[in-house]
Amino acid sequence: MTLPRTPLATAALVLLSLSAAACGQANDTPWTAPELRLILSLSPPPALAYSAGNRFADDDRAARLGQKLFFDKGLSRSGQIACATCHEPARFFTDGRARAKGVAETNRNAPTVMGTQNLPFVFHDGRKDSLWAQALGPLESDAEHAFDRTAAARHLAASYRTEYEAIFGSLPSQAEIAALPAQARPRPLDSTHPQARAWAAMAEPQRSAVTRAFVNIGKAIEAYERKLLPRPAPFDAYASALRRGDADAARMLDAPARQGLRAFIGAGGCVNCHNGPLLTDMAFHNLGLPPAAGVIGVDGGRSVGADQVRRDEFRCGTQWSDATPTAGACQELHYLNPQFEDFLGAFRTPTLRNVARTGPYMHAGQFATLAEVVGFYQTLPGRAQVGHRDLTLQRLPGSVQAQDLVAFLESLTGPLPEPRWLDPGG
Amino acid sequence: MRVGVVACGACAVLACTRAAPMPSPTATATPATPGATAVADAAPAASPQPSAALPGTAVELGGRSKAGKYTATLRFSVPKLGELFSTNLRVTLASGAALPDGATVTVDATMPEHRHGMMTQPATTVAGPGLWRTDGMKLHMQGRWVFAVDVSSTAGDDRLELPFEQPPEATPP
Ligand code: HEC
Ligand code: HEC
Repeated sequence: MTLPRTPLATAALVLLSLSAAACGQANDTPWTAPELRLILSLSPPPALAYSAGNRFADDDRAARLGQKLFFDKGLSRSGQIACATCHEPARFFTDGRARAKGVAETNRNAPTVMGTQNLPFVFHDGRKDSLWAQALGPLESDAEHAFDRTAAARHLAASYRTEYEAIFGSLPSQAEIAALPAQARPRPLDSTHPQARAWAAMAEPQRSAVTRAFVNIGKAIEAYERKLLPRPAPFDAYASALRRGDADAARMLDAPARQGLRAFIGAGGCVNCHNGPLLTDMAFHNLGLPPAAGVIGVDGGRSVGADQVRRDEFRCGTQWSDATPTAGACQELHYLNPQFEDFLGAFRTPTLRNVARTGPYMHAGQFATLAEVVGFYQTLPGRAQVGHRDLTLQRLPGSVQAQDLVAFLESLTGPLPEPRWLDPGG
Repeated sequence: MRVGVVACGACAVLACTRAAPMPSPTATATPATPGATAVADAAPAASPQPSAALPGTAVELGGRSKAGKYTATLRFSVPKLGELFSTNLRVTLASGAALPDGATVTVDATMPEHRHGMMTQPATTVAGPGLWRTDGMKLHMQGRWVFAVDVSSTAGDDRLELPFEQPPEATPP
């Protein structure tokens, strides 16, 4: 017998011999070669991808500055809101609420920051194409930090000038900062707003200097967020044992979680969308979710986000981005199809890493628990509020036990990032 | 190459008759598969075939178009799941003769069993006489895709459908 000497084939062989031992447990059938291949494709958690638009992305000094900024309530109008208000480290960088609340309640659930590092598009609707551009959104969102970029530049100069200048070069001088209007920012949808008028009244070099400082806040925050990768979970220990052909692999994962994994990659069809090592296809689907209690209006999701990201002030290839479109960067944006018909009411498939710790679930916090999520996939009740339900979705067959799927999802919880990244730093 | 069946009635048969990896066989254009009606209610399992080639393997898919007007070959390197990739296409008349001037082609990919296509908007450009390059393709789900190559020239409009098995690996194994 000759088999190619690949780890996969070796693992399959060992499983074969193992399965004889496992016989007797009728429901613990050995994995077939395609199943094994699917399992191994979900693990381990990914390494960082290159961040084309941010040349400070892997600068540790930028990461340490970004860490302070992430926890700094001084970057909000009220002095009460920081990124960490809605992305609390102890909650795996979420807030435990159905819908996030800053100055006001938003209409979306706060997702985890862990596992967003390599995504081509961020936010539930993918309206930003990098983490640094993303960070600038909440700062100027009226419901979140309700800040503006002149105030941000002033705060940077007052609190972080030395650190900032060592990384990014000079900030406007004290005199230049003093000459800035109190609150100014562009507001393309509301040009008569006092902040928009103040912004329009500034000289162009002043506007660019302020925007440059504002952009670098985002770049420092991205450098920090890149320290928050998901870490290996019990499921990964199991996958790694399978990969090695370890005879005791099954000890790494309880029987219900193994059954749940079987449903996840098989009859449940979950892996059709929750694929790859982050358990997301990074794509957008309309699940036909029920409306969230207390939210008025329907959410167009990706159909709106796809349009916004193509016009975003800070998108890949703009003067603020370090990517040169001619050098093959910005491809995701370039080949994005904004007209894709199934984008209506679609949201990005979220990562399932650490999902047991990041509830409530779905873009508007429709479900409080994983059992409710699985209950939804079992029955697929009602119909989409807008657009149509993704045709890939099928009701779970009766043979799939909901509690097994939940057990599998729980096996995706790894440790938090290293403790030194979990507080404002020093 | 064959691997024995586990000696246990309760255990699944694990037959590694076609263990990974190996290059996809050259596919000849299959007859039309009206995907829209194919599998409406049966939940198709995602399992890729064990024969799906690993990312990075060179593939060549080709054959005769449905109405027999053209011959085409599509070459690319098996993409990682969800990663943008490019293809190179060569088209001739079925006789092997060069295409008439002004021929145009499009390359698309769909998953008939799931009734969806790609979420990107690829761009096809001329790369030489009878040669085209398509950039911006992305297969976001593992399993069976079908590339549709549509050729249009004074010799007529015709289509090739080339099945392809996208492997599940999004990162190098
Ligand atoms: C008021 C609560 C709140 C604050 C403050 C806040 N966020 Fe968020 N964050 C959210 C919500 C809600 C979303 C999803 C919004 C959407 O998709 O429309 C989100 C999305 C994100 C995402 C995208 C995650 C993904 O899966 O795509 C990242 C990254 C992120 N926030 C980082 C930050 C950073 C950095 C800051 C500070 C500059 C910040 N957030 C401040 C609530 C908040
Ligand atoms: C058609 C693609 C698709 C399939 C199939 C699918 N999901 Fe999802 N899943 C999504 C999308 C998209 C969301 C987010 C939807 C939203 O917020 O509107 C999601 C959300 C979730 C969430 C909530 C995560 C969070 O952080 O809010 C869980 C848990 C989940 N899915 C588990 C599963 C399980 C288990 C299965 C199989 C029974 C499954 N999914 C099948 C696309 C899919």
